[in-house]
Amino acid sequence: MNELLRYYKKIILALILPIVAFAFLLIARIPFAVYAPGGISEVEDLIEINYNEDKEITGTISTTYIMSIQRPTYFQFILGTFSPYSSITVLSSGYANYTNEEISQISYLDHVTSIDASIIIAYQKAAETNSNIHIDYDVKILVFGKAVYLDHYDEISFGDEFIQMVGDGDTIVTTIDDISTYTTLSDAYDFTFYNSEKGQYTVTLSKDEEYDKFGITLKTYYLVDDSTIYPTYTENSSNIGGPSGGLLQTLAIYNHLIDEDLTKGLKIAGTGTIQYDGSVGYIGGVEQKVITAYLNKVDLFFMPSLDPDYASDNYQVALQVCEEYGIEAEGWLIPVSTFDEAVAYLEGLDVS
Amino acid sequence: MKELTTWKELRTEFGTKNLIDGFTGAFALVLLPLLLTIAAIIEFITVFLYLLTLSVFLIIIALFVSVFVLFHLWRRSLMLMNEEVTLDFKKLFLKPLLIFGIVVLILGLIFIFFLIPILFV
Repeated sequence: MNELLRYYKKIILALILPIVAFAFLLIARIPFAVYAPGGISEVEDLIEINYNEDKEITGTISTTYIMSIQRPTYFQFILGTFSPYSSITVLSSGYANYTNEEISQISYLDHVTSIDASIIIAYQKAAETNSNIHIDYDVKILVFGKAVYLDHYDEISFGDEFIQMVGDGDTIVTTIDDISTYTTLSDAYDFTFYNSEKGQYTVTLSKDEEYDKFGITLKTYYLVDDSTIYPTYTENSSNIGGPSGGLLQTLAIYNHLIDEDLTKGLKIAGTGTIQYDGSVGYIGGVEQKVITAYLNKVDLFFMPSLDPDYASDNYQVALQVCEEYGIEAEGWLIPVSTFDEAVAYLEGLDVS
Repeated sequence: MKELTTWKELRTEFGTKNLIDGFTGAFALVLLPLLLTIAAIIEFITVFLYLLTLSVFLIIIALFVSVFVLFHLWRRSLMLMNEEVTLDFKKLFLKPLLIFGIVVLILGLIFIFFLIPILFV
């Protein structure tokens, strides 16, 4: 080894500094976010409905994902500036205090709960015409956010289920709205949660003096009751996070439950969260999602459109992106505000 | 059979310790640039996912070049230990190099055509 090191000594010495500098670019992270085009993912690969197995689905329904790099390395940041399709922003204030692992946990929670929402909406819609289909769900309150000043920060995890808290006058509080009502007389209260292993634990949380808040964000979710659902379904693991696949997941599940084939042989993709009332919600990364769909040559792309007068309306932004990149939006980019609208569009589509 | 004889002659000529020492030196010199290159390509993939197939080919090429350099440095190391060596072992290294290249290429193609569609669900 020594002979080799001596022989290449000059080259090694000359390369040390560039290699260290390059390693620094690859390792050091900066508080920005890079958004880049990703891909499309067929919902059938993610959720298998154990029903209508013989039904022939001629087309595909896919969700669209983008690469969302929170706290990129310098190298990723530089690459992002060179990519014609990427955008770079300062790290969102909502994520600024979270580690990348925590951001992944939030993203995962968003994703799994969006699947439950999709199942519920699709089954309820299909049950209107098929009495065999049945679904029940539980309403649960889960931990969705944690502030840096939250007590017992490491004990409470994202997705833990809120059971109750003991409020003023020993009132047992079990709803989000009642928490502020019954926490006016003291600074600290006992909160009880279930963790992911269904273990119950109680922690005393105190209000932060500056914000007068406990520092925990709770959100209500509807979760499928697997014991009574018909038909059953299998949810495969996924590397993709976030709730923006909601609308397309719902469409694909619904398409599997009904007799007709809504896809009509088309490669359908889109984006948009799904709410429990069947309405579609806004998403982020419109530009990258439109480009992703375009690069993947999809036939139809659903985009949330809730208010044409709102400058940041997803559909309006998507139209601008199409114009910028020379993509023909007419008949390709489809604005929708509800799940029913998307179904109606596909039902009325003439592909002959 | 002829190759096995040459390997034995190589061991007789340099000794097992020197062979391992030469290989370790070559490996040490190749490893850091290889790891940095692969890390750079992986970060490239995160921004240019739509160029994933190209990126996998870049990784295959990086691995192939690294192994080529590894064998070259190993040979150089042995030559430096004994400059008067008469044994021609250049061709001896060619076969493992080709085998490695083919294996990496096959694994890369499996990744492109089978694993990528599974991983990106």
